[in-house]
Amino acid sequence: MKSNNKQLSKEYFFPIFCIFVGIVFFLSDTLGILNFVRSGISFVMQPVAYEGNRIGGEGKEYLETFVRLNEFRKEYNELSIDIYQKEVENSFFILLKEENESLKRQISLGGSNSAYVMAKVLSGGDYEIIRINKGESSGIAVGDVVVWGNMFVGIVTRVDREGSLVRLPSSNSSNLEVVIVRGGIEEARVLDNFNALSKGVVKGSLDGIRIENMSMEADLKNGDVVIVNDTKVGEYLVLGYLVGLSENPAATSRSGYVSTIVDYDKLITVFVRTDH
Amino acid sequence: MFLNILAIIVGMFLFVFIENFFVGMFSFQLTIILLFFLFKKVDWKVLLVIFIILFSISDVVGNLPMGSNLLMGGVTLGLLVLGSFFFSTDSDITGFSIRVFILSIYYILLKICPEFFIDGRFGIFSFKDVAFSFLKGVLSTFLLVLLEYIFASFRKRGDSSKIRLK
Repeated sequence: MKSNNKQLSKEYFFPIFCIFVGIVFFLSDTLGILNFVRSGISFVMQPVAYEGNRIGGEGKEYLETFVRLNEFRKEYNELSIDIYQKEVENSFFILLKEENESLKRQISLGGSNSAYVMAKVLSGGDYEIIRINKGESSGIAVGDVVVWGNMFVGIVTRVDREGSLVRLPSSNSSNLEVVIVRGGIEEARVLDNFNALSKGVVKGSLDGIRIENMSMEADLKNGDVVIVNDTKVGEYLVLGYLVGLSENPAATSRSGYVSTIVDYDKLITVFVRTDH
Repeated sequence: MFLNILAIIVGMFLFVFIENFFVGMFSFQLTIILLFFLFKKVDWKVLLVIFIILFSISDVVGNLPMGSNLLMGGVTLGLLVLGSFFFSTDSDITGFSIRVFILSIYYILLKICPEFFIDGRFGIFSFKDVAFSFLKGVLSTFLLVLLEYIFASFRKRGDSSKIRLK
């Protein structure tokens, strides 16, 4: 019993020994006496400790993912809303940019004295017609020509006070006289004395915009430019490129299709010529 | 003998790895839990040698002056011994609460003392640190209780208060 009490009393002094040894170590290390021990431990144990700490840190990150799942979900929702807002802002700027480009294109037609009304396309899903947001109140009338720069878009077929319907060349009700020339589309409108390779008639069909009655003798090639030259239009406007040219020597005339330069589905801003 | 030395060396590497794994994952110090667990169970001289080595390794690995962890461990254990004069620290809720309190103090010391040992000024300390230290104290105590429960199943009947390391 006596020896047990002696043992216990020594155990109770254990913390004091720890503190004493700690102070001795602390002072020795501060004085640099234990540098060799320090270097040895560091050399041997530091990599082990580093690896253990790294793996533990990675495990902590995984655990944190689960703990903060609700926070992540909230953050995800906030980010989604933020992205939607950015997309809305972005689409607004895209519209402005597109409008700016359209205006620049229209202004670049320096020789034209015509009056134009800028309009927005409201729905372009229809294959044959498009709706625009300007109508009678803006001075638009049936028969007005809708253009995009020097590109032909269509002819106004129905007008309301604040909206109009525009018949596209792809409509089967559309018949336009055209000429086929060789050269760039930018210059086509200002060519007063261009050398027309052939005349033709353009009409809409299920297959696309069909061009017919082209001369057999003309040196036509796929890729030649088709320009509208119709009394209903009143000026030279580019329609597109000649494609799918027929090669039947027995035929009396040649036919083909027109690949439009303007993608009607993607039109946003158009100009209606109102000086009828 | 050779096997014993080999086991001690391998065990030390393993312990350093696990200790740092726990530090990285839960910010726990296994060394202090082990000290609390082995106190009064192992001969104090053996215990002193073991913990001088383990705490020295912790100091070097943590880039602290050697003896820092031993000092903090000694102070904490001293508080436990001091507490045992007034309260029952062996079991029940009082013992658990005292251990939680003392281990929380250890984690608080661990937060503020390293700066003191290096620069002579105590580190920045907030209420959040106290809360985290308390939480770590609670979890460490749970771990300590778990360890005691596991080792209790290995104790021989009639000699349940001592594990002898030879």
